[in-house]
Amino acid sequence: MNVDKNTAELVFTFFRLLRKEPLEIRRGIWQVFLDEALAKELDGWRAKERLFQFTFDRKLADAYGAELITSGSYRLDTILQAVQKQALLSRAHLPHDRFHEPSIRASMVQRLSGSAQYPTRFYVLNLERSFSPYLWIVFQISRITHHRRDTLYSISVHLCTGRVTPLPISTQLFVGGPPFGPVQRRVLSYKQAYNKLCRHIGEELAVQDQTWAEEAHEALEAEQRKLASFFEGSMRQDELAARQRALVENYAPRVLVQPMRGALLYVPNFCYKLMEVGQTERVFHATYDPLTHEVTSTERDQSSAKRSSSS
Amino acid sequence: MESLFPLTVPLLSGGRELQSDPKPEYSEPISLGKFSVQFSQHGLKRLVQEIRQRRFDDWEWFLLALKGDELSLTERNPTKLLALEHLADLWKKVGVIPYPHQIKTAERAINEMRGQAILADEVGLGKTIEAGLILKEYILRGLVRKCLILTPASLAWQWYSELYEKFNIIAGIQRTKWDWTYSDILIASLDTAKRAEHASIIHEIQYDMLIIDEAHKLRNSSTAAFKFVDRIQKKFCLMLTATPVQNDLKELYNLISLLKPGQLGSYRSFRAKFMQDKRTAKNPEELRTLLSQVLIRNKRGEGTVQFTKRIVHPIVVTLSPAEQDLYNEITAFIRAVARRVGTSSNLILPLITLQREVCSSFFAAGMTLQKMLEKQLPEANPVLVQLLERAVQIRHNSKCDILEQLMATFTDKVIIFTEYRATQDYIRYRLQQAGYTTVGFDGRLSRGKKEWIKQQFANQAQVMVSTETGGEGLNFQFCNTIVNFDLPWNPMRLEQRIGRVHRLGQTRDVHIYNLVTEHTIEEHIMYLLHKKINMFQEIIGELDAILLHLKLDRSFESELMRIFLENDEKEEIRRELDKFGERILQGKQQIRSPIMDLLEEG
Repeated sequence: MNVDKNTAELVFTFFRLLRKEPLEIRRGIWQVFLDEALAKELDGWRAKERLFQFTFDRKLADAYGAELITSGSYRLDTILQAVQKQALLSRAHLPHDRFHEPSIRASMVQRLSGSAQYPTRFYVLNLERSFSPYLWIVFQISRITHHRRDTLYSISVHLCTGRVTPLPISTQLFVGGPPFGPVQRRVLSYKQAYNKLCRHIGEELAVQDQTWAEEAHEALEAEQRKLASFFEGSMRQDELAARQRALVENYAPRVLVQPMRGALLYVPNFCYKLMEVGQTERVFHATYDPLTHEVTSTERDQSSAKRSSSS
Repeated sequence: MESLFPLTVPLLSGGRELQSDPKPEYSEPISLGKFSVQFSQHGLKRLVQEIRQRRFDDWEWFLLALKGDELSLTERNPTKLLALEHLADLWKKVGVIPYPHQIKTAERAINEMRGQAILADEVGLGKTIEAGLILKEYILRGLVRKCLILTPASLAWQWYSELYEKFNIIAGIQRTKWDWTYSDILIASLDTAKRAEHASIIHEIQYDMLIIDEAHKLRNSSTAAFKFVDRIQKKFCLMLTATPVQNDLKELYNLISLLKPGQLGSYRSFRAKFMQDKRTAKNPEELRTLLSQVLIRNKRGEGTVQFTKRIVHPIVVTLSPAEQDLYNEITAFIRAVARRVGTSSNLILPLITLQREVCSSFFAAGMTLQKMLEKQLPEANPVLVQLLERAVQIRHNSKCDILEQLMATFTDKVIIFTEYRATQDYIRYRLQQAGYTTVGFDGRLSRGKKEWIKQQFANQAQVMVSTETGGEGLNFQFCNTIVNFDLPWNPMRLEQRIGRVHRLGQTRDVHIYNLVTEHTIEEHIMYLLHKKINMFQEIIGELDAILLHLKLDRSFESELMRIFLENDEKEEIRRELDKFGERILQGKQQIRSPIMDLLEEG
């Protein structure tokens, strides 16, 4: 049985989220009850409730008359359409307990000790758990010539520091909803954050492989030469100019960047109050960001994290 | 009651999309060397709006939607045609099996010709399927949203049904001037579209794709149709014609320049480089190379399609004396009136209809006589009254008797064609009396009902009695026997009848039974269509092009009527029909000019 795992996973998750459990009535064939609302969603307003049998295998579909769900099939299309319009914007947080705090603490102390110029000891006085807000957007990048090639590109921006970074942690580790805990106050407006992401994408595109654009450009120039030869010696220069413009409009290589969906993600911070004991003694704060593994320290005894209603 | 959909956005809300606006706003293009980049402004606005309104969706649905995005995109980056996968299920249901040459043509048109191609396959090889496949592919790839399909008016419905049934593309047929703007995929008659009030709207629209059926009508660059099409703004363009050129290389130049100006250079350079005279090409190899970059021509036979045979069975019907007398009297009446009003008069049309009906059945002729009477006072034409009375009195129909005998020899499904509804009703009545299950098919039926009747015929009924109106676009390859109860005068209509069963997908030989009444005009029509131009046995490719080439001053039917009216004797009629048949055959030869050989290999 040749089953596309991604397709099957999508279909079963779809039904699970609708609180429906497909029953495997025969090896490779599943059955699920479609109530009227779901039937209408999938098959239009005239659909009625029914038992829906499906399979991912063409041979089984032929043999038992179950609906085939495979790449390009009508049924996969309807499910994809239903799924894709469900969620546009969401929010989720990464709980602190996804990380082993004693290891972080040990690692940070070790790192601080390593960077000190003389023998120094660090004592953790306090640990405050807070969250950093990120705007995470999934863009569709379409490279258009006479063909079109679409890719997805996901990128996030730290709403406090403005740092742009891809999400290094699987989204599966996040938990839906806002965090229960203090969230750093954001500094960037959403518009600024979005523009920062766009700028970053522009920079990325500029250094990527441009062969596709070069080929398209050459083809366009060839078309333009042909067009010019057609109007050679003709008085209709206005028409030539208009047609040249149309050619450029239709075939010049271009990239369209459009957001598909976005999420506010809250990533944990581990903010330690530390005492350094060495030649001198001082108390300071160090914040560990588990996404970038960076440690930032502040001398003054005040936390940048503020409590937020985090609604 | 607990909600079935534990979602922030219930499924039935219709959902939201960041790019739901059909014309999304983009920033000004930013040049990055060889290409430019534009960012969606609309998406930004929607995103900020959504955050401000705190419309957060469920995280699990969000992740699933992302997975959906990834899956959709995986599909959009194909190494082969996406449409084939998408249409596999549908084609299985409706019984479409794409031929390799059709798939190859679609691939070439998209990958090599960048969506600008002349599809010049020989008749019957499925140019419409190729065009539909290309259109579907572009729609799936997100490159075509606005498409205009220009066809002769008579083919609009055929296009509609082909696109709907075989490609699940729901197109509109142009009715009002609003359709140009609001219908994304629109089928329209070229003649209507080029009218000034429509043309001005069409020329303002930027089409993603333009499809022109029967594009040979655009070979002459001085015509209004050519100039109209030339001004349409389009990105991709498909031109469909079996005869891109007849006997002048300039026609070919015009057509290709319409598709892709400059492909063959300026006309002056083309003439100098490629034309020895208007019928002979210079540098044929080079020209062929240039043509093969924009033109695809598949031929019947090797590598494409082998059609099954057409087997013709003429059945001669002898009218009863009463029927023959009435036939003669009606014919005499028609001749008398026609000679009085002249063959070019408008009044000739009902007379042609009457003359054709009288060969079909006296029920059909009776209906027309009645209509003629209703338009004038009965006492104004006592002959009409008398003819009508006699037509009503005839209860016997020799053709139907023969039909019943013929039916007894069939074991499989049969389609019986007649041109007239009155005859259709009578045939159905007689066959039902004889114990056959029948269905009727005609142009009055709604689209859904036509489909239903097609299913009824496929699954239950043994006989379908059809007037050819409304049959366009519906295919009955599961049946291989047709009976022409009466013969249409126009060979195009005859070809359309046969084409319902004798087409791609027919696996058996097709049997054509022609009921021809002796000593009537039908005998002459049969002579012309069968003996002279061999309509029944050969697929006469490019029939419409041949008829166009004949440059008749009047319709085909009127031309035949003229021959019948101007000649009394059987021999004279035969002589005239011979001449007419010769003209058709010559037309066939002429449109098959040596220039066409240029297109054969590319």
